[in-house]
Amino acid sequence: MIGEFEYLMLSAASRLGEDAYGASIRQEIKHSTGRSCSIGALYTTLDRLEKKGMVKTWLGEPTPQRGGRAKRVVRVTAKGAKAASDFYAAVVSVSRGVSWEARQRTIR
Amino acid sequence: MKNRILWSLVTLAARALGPDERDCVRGDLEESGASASESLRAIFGLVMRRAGAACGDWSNWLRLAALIIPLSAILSIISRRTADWSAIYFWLYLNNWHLSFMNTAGFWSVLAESAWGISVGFLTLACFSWTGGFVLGNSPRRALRMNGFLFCCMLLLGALLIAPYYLHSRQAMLMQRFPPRPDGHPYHDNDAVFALTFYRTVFPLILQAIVVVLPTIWGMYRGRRFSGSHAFLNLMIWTAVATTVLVMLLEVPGLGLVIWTHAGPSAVNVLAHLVRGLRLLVYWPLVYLILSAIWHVRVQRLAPA
Repeated sequence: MIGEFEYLMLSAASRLGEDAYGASIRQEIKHSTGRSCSIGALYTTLDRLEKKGMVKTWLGEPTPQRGGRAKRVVRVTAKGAKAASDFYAAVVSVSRGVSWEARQRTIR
Repeated sequence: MKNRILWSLVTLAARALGPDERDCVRGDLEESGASASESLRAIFGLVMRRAGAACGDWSNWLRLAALIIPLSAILSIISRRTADWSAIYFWLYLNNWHLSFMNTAGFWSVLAESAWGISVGFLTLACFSWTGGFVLGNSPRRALRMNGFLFCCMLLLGALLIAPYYLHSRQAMLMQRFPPRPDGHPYHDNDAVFALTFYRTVFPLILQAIVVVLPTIWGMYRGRRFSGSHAFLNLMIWTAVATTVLVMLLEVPGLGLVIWTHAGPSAVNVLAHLVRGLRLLVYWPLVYLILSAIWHVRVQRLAPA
């Protein structure tokens, strides 16, 4: 099963869709979790996910905001979506009935 | 000023990454508005993580133990030996020069012979190094920079420690084996040369840098670009590489003595003939580079304007 950070990356990339690339995924994870992730963690995890066949990456077009530098575009594959879905189902299943689950439901 | 220095360090640190990744990472950092110190920290973190991942991969350790360490040790020993014997000739001509020598016919004949011998020795060492680099260049792309860096570190270690220790041990073994001079003094024929720090320490390092490191880097570059798609060409090149590595091993000083001790003088004669016969193949990088250049020029001429 994938790890927590791999799940965060797959989720962020899936939500971003066509706009998923290094900087945007980093921004999305920071926005969602309140924690910033390092470039090192992001790229090494991307390599790991690509090796497992869960994402596909390629060089995108350079943009002026990036100083004319290319971006590493990310797409979640079907295998990646399944792995993320399995992780989510496992977390939901194991969290049923725990105290913080009830607390979260109350807060919502 | 401080900012400029930091951005220069960022550019330098980013060179440890591959060209595509360097672009992407620098672009991400620019897009997120990271400062110079944040960028430096981020890139350094990525480089360290990559190095850590490489340490966890067993194939990198295998490549280090089976290829990088033995190859760098052998090249250092051969380089040191080449530096030592060529230093004697350089000392003879440079430190003992006199204008009157130029009027002697014998001087020019010996000079030509020495120059030829030194040139062939340096060329052979360069071909050994180029071949070693070519083999390293065929490493997986991600491991290439790390392998190149480790190889250069091992070459430096070889030049400073391994080669002098090996050659000194071999000399001590020879002294034990062969009787000393009748007057009881040990043989130290070239003390005058190696009493000078330049020939003892500096010249071997200069030779290693120019005739070993540079050809190795060039060989790595060409090895990385070698596609190996043509089966017959592939076979010929790797046969030449294997032969060159074998000749390198046979050229390591002391091997003849070991064989003589265990297998007798006839085995040493066979060894000497084998080295002589295979030596021509050692210069395969020259043939490869010349033919590649001719092919490249031909392709450019035939390409539509």
